[in-house]
Amino acid sequence: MIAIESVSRRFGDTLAVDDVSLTVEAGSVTVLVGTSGSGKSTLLRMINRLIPPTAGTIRIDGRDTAAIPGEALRRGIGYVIQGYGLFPHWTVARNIATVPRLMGWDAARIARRVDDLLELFGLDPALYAGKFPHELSGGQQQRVGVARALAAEPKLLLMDEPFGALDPVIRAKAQDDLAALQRRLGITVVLVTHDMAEAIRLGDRIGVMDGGRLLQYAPPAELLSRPAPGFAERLLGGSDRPYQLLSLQTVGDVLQAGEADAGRVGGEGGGGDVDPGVAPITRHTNLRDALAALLWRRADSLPVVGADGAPRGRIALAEVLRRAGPPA
Amino acid sequence: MTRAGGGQDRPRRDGVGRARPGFGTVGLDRVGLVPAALAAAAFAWPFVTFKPNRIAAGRGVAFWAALPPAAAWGGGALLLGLALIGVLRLPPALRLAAALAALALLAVLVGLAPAVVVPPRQNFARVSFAAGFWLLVAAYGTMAADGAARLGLRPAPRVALLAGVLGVLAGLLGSGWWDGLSLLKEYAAHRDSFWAEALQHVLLAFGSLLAACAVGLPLGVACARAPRLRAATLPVLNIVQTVPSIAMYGLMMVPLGLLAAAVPALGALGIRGIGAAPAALALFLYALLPVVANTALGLDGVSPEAVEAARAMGMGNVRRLRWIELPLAAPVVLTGLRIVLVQNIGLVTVAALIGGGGFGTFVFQGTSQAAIDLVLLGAIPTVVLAFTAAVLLDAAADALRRVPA
Ligand SMILES: Nc1ncnc2c1ncn2[C@@H]1O[C@H](COP(=O)(O)OP(=O)(O)O)[C@@H](O)[C@H]1O
Ligand SMILES: [Mg+2]
Repeated sequence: MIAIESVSRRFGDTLAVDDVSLTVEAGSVTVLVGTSGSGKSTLLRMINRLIPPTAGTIRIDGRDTAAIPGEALRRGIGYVIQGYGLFPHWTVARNIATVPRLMGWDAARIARRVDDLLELFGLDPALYAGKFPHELSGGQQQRVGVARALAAEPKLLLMDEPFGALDPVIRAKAQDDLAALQRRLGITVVLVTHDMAEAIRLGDRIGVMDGGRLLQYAPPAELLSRPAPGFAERLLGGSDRPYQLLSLQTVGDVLQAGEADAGRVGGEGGGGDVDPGVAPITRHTNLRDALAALLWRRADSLPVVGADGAPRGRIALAEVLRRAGPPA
Repeated sequence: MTRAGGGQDRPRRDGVGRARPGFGTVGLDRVGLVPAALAAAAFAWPFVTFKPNRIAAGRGVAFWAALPPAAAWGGGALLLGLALIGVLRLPPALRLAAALAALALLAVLVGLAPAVVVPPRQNFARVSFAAGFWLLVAAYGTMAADGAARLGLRPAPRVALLAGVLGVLAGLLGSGWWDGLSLLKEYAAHRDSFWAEALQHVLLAFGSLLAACAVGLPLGVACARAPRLRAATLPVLNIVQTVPSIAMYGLMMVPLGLLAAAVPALGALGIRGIGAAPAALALFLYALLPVVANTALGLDGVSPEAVEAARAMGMGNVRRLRWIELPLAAPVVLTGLRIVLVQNIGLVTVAALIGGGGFGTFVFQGTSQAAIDLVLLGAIPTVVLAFTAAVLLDAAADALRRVPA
């Protein structure tokens, strides 16, 4: 657990972070979101003391970070930045091994760990361990950056716009991968972004920052339905909000028993698995995708199937629409 | 199933791109014309100079008259033929090989001249290189450099090529083939001091470089970290660079002379107003700017993300410098060292004026005796040394850029 208590940071005349307090639960994903210059990066860098606060304290698992030597503290916390900061003169394997080497692991253990991580990130060690960063695609570099941050098995991972340099298709995949990885490892993640959709997609809790202040700190559903008036509301953008709210809920929440009236499945079309015309709807489909399917097939309700393809019930358009706005 | 996309029906583009002329369509190479014209014109100038004795006035001897007829006609035709290869648009490797072959041929031919030009029993007569010879060297040297540059050799083959050229040169000198030439007669007369001065030259050039590294690298790192220090340091070092070398050596003489007078122990160590000490000090001062400036510049060029990542992973200042920043700055730093070394090898020559020794000794002796070949005995090794240093350090910098450590 990270407890940030009345933390401020001043650079000359600018107050980059202004009296921020928040608590990050262990094993959760917290996203800090705000426009450029709002102090997100500064707040993130104060957690591993790359930047020491000018006021306030930060505790990790109850220990004041100011009492831990900076280098030891940082070796225990993973860190990923936009552009990844891979060392261009080191191979992928050597990059990943950085923190274990700093911590004095023996060579065999480091080699094993590097191989395990490469496998975990879908990079064949035989092929990629000896490559240099400039020989990798953007997506591969990003994965190596995360692998390097996780090399010494930190319980906390800090990420500053980690997907900012990726194109939209690869970014969506990288976001899903990160969410899966986080659930699997049970680590705590604090992530900075200026992209509200990314924040809603990934965050268990979202902190909205502006001018160095934390305006609102809430789970995504609450943020969407009851944004703090003013900046937070504007940042959420008007027209997208119903869809974002729907994207946080799944078919399982509104599943009804019985047959759908319009069970027509599929039309013409390509093979993309997000195509609203053919994608089967399961209880894990989010309501935004379900709505798209209902609209596309001009149906009032559609069948919901299990992973095996057997019918599990139905989803009704009216029920989805009821959930697209704030609770009455 | 039909697959969309134009992958299969796009036209094959193998034939498109830079045209690679076959032998049927060899064109003219504009850049190659210049050295070829130079080589052709060179035959209008005297190939060697004949002097009855060391300081008598010389008489130019043309290429055709300076060599045995067979060698003159055969060699001349071959030289012109090789120049022709530079004119045609042929692969760079061929141009380089032709130029090197021409230079080797030239070296062999000129060794034949003394036997032809010098009448029997004229033991004091001298045969020296003349304008025509130098023009040919310049022409084929340019052609070789052009070929090598276009070939874009990797560092290791480049060094191997240099070693080969130096090896051939050493073999030629060692075999005594050139012993009839005035240059080698000067060498024979100064054999003992030649190698002592050579050692002195190298020690002065490298010693001042090492000293400049010992001071300049840390200073460069400090300048990269502290903009104020940099703003104060670099302009001063820049001014130092603009002091003419003779003035600099003179300036060094005064404080060192006073120091030696005040502290006799230093004088006993050889630190005096004249000699190697002021020369080394002056060279050290000249060397500081390139070392400091390039170290700071190299560190500036290190990606800020890499530095931030290094800090964020818990690397301390020293580790970060050794593991990340210096290796990434190394190519730029090496470029600075190359500048220093080549510059110093040249400047050491002037140090002979204040008794610093080195090849400059022969240059100044030769000038005062009006013996041009003695001047060359000092100048040619200096050029060879500087060229070798430049090629080696360039190759090292390139190797670092290409294959990150
Ligand atoms: N090292 C620094 N020196 C001076 N000012 C800084 C420094 N880092 C950040 N700032 C200032 O602090 C403010 C917040 O910056 P930052 O935390 O990077 O914002 P964000 O990450 O939200 O874009 C900005 O006004 C920025 O100019
Ligand atoms: Mg930022």
